[in-house]
This record gives sequence, structure tokens and C-alpha cells, in this order.
Amino acid sequence: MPNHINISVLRKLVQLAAFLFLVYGSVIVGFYSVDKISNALPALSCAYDTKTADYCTLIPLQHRMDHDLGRAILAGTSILTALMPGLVILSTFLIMFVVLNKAFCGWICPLGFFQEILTLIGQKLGLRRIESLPEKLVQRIRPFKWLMLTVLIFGLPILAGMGVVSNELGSPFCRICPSRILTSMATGDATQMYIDTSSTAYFILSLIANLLFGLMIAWGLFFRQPFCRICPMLALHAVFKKIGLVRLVKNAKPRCEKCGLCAKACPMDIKEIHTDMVHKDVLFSDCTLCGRCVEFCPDKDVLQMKYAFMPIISADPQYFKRRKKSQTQWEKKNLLGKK
Amino acid sequence: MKRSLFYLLMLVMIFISGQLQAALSWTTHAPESSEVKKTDGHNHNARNKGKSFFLHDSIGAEVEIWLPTLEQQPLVISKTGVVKVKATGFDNYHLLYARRQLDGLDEMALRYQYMRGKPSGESPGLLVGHSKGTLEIKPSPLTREHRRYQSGDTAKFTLSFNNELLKLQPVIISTSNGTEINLHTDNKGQLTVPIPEDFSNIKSGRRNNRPAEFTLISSITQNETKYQTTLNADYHVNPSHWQSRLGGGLTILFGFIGGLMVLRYVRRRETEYA
Repeated sequence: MPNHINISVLRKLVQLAAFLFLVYGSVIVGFYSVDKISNALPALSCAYDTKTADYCTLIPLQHRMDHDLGRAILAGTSILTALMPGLVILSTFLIMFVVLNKAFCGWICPLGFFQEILTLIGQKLGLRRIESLPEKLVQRIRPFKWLMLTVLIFGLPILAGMGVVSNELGSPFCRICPSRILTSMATGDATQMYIDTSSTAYFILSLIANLLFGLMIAWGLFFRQPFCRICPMLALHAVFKKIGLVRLVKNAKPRCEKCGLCAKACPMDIKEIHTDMVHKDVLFSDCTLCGRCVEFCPDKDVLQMKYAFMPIISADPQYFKRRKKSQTQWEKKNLLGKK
Repeated sequence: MKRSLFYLLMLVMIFISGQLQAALSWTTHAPESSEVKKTDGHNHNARNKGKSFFLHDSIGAEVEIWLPTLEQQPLVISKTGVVKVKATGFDNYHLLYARRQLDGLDEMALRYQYMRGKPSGESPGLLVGHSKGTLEIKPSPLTREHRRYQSGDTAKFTLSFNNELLKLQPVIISTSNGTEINLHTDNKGQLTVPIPEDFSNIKSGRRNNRPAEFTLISSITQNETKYQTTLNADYHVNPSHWQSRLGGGLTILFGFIGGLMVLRYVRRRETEYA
């Protein structure tokens, strides 16, 4: 295999194709394709993008919590009936999720791809990168994705439906999601980049959205995947990760304790992939199944990405050497300050 | 000469206005002169319920509701012109269809109406793409989730006669806020409609402003038969009245600079501790 062809390159190509399809796809597959594909994609592809081919499950989930569940609780009608539309959406999500598991984050998500491109730009510009965030900070950040999921996707929309909080908080995550700004701007539509002065809630949400988007761009230039770490989709994936067909498996060897290259390669700074010597299943909640840990593992079959029970990518010393060489060559060729 | 041209133009406008008043067309708001004071089911809280509509000049018209699956259900027009539509149980766009065929006259009125219910499994493309009459105005495309017709924007439509696109065909847009504009399709049969910025007393926030309606009307005479078609839809106040893009851009920039400053601060602290 030539040096320049590796899993990272292949993944970038898949991500690019997914980005083009999800952001501009309706031009090819038709304006209303979204009604046909899923409406419940396990990745942040936004319904506010006028050309999207399919959109993220978090939008209908918030709507269902607000319009169905919240209102049913308020009216005292059947909760089960009110849950049905939400369960249909969740089932559609799960049918897709089972196929790729958390790889939707690492291989499909347009926002994830955008952040990787930002880091690449930062590298190219010769900016001093933060290779890994401090472990304490990583540990502190981790609960935020659960908070985002419980409060913004379920909590506030239900309370809005019940009339406890204002109905402006009916879909709060969409209001602050960077993907809404990114994907609509990618189609030349700047209408989602706004400060809304119609109410205090909308003003605060629009302020948070823009600040978060700016912050994500700035931080994305210096370290990997800043928004992914708090993304509620990552948390939703984590809930169902056991049923996905793609798995990450570790066959720990004593050498693992000294190595740690897998943890260094991980864009989400999951140190446990290096330190865990007990569990075979190393698909952690923060994992995006990008496969970099497997690529950069120098020991034969210690880390494997499996589809059901079939290994699809396995750690291999020969591949590792080639991968390392191609990385060095690429850095010398492309990065400012490394020539 | 100029004066006579002016009077001629005025006459044409009066004639056109008269035509609009008489045209078979849908609306959600009954005219003030009507006995019907309001139509139901159009506020946000009644989104899952049935709705009622008003059909202008409805005498002799047959009305139906078309489901997203193209299933057609007959509707009844009351003496006052009100048409009540029960919830169909299906989600997505439905079509309100009215047609009147008399000697030398073939009229059709359409309105695409979003209804709530269980997924129909069909895309609006099926409903829009299906031919409904001889002369038809079709949205190109019909607005999708999170999008709506807004004042100050442009919307695209096509106009077809026997499924052939009509080039340079006159069309009038008339709004419930009182605006009327004469338009015509382009060389390809496409119609670009500038949705008028004609709301008065605009309040901040979409839900604080009731949507208005526009009706597109066009007619053509062939073989001694006059074909007339109308398409009615809601449009909303453009949110740019309470949303600032400049403010949005500046806060993104502020977030960016803030992010860089935080990183700089963290690095400086790291260096100090080292």
C-alpha cells in the first residue's frame, strides 16, 4: 500500500463525501429527500440548512418532548400515546445507529469534520498546538455532554411543553448548536448568524450560539474537537453504544503500560484506552470511533476495530511504521516551521 | 397622451382588482364583509386539530382535501363559504383543492396546508409534482421544515398549462395586507415572486405577529375557454426586524477573540508554573 494511503486519509475522504451529501445533498437527491431518508440522523446535520439531504435526530426529539410529552403531562392525557412519536424517531435513529455505532461522530458528522479541518489549518499555519488537554480538565469537561443531553434535549423542551418555562425554550439546543450556523453558512445563507432581540431568552440563546461558534473556531485551531467534547449527540450515542455493530476491542499486553501512543493519538483525549488493562471492550463514552488509536498502536492486534465479530482494522507493526513515516513526511512537506 | 395612458392603466388595475375579488381562492381569514368572523385551527396551540378555511367566490365549486399520499377526500362548503377540515391523522403538507368548471370557464384554487399527525411516508414532492388541473401554479420548491415565506424575500414558482411551462405569462400577487403587484413568468416559465414587505405595526418576535396571506392568480383563454388558477399561502414578517446579522457576526468575532485570549492566559499560567 502506498505511504500516503492510510485509514486517516480514507476517513477524511468519507467525511468529505458525507459533508457534501449532508450539507448540499438535496440538490442531487431532491429537496424533500429528508422526508425519505430518516429525519433522525445520528450526526449534527442541520434542518436549518436549506440544502441538507437529511437532518439530525436532536431536532425532532426536542420537538416531540415539547409538543407531545410536555403538553400531555400538562393536560394529564396518556403519556404513552404522547411518547409514541418520540419513540418512532428514536427507533429510526437506532436502526441507523446500529449500523455504524459511534462512527457517525468520527466518520459522518459535518461539524466533527469541520473541527478536524480547523485543526489541520492550525497545523498548517504553524500554530503551537495543544497535543492533549490536561487529564483533570478532560475529566471536568466530560459531564457537560450529559448535562447538554438531559437539560437541552429533554428537560427544557418538556418544561416548555408543560408551560413551566417559556416556549422559547422548546428547542434550546438547536438555538445554540454551531452546526446550524456552520451548515447554513456553507450554503451561502447567513440568516442563522444573528442576535435575536425579540425576547430575553432568544437574546441569550443567540448570544451563546455565536460566542460558542467563535470559541469553537478559535480553539479548533489549537486543539482537537473542542465542541465534540460537550456535544449531546456524543452522550446519546453513549447510551446506546452497546448495541452498535462497530466495536473497539483491546487485547492488552504488558507492553501497553509503557507505550501510550493510542491515548496520544486520540482526538478526544481518552487516556483510559491506554490505562485500561482489564476490559476488552474499550468503546468509551467519549469515543468517536475514528480509529486513530488502532492506527497508532505498534503491537500486533492489541487494538482492533470490529464489525460485529469480524476485525475490520487491526493494529499492525508494519502498518504502524508506514503510518509514522507518512505522518513525518506529510508534516515536513506541509507544515510551516517543520521544513 | 400621457394622461390617457394613465387612465388606461388605472382601468386595467381596477379590472384586475375586480378579477381578484371574484376569483375562486382560498384564505384562512374570512373577509370583514362576511358573516363569518374567524376561521379556526390556525394558531400554534391548535396545530394538531382540524382547521377551517374560507373559499372566496365558492358558488358551484367542488372542494377536496388531498392527503400527502394523493388520496382525495371530499369537503363540504357552508353557505357562508367556510370549509371545515378535520384532522386527517397524517403529518406533512396536504392540498386544499377547489375547482369549478362551467361553460367557457375552468377555475382552480389551491392551498398547500401543513397538518400534524403520524408520518405519511410520502414526500411533499409527490403532492406538488402531481398535475391537478389544466392551468396550475406550483411552488418551486414548497417551503420545508424551519422555513417559511417571509416578507422581503423572494419565492419561486412555476406556471404550467397542460403540464407545459408557460413563458412570459402574467401573474398577479395580491396580499391580505392590501398589496397587489403584476408579475410575469420568465423565458423558462419560472416565476420569481418578491414577497412584499407590507406589514404594519410590526412587533418583535415571530409569534407576536400574525402571518398574512398572498394569493397568486393567473388566467389564460384558449379555445373559447378561460382557465383561471389561484394559489394561496401564508407569509410572515421577516425576522430581520428583530434579528441583527451584524450583531451575530460581531459576537462570533468576540467569541473567537475571547477563545484566543483564554488560550493565551492558560499558556501564560502554564509557563509561570513551569
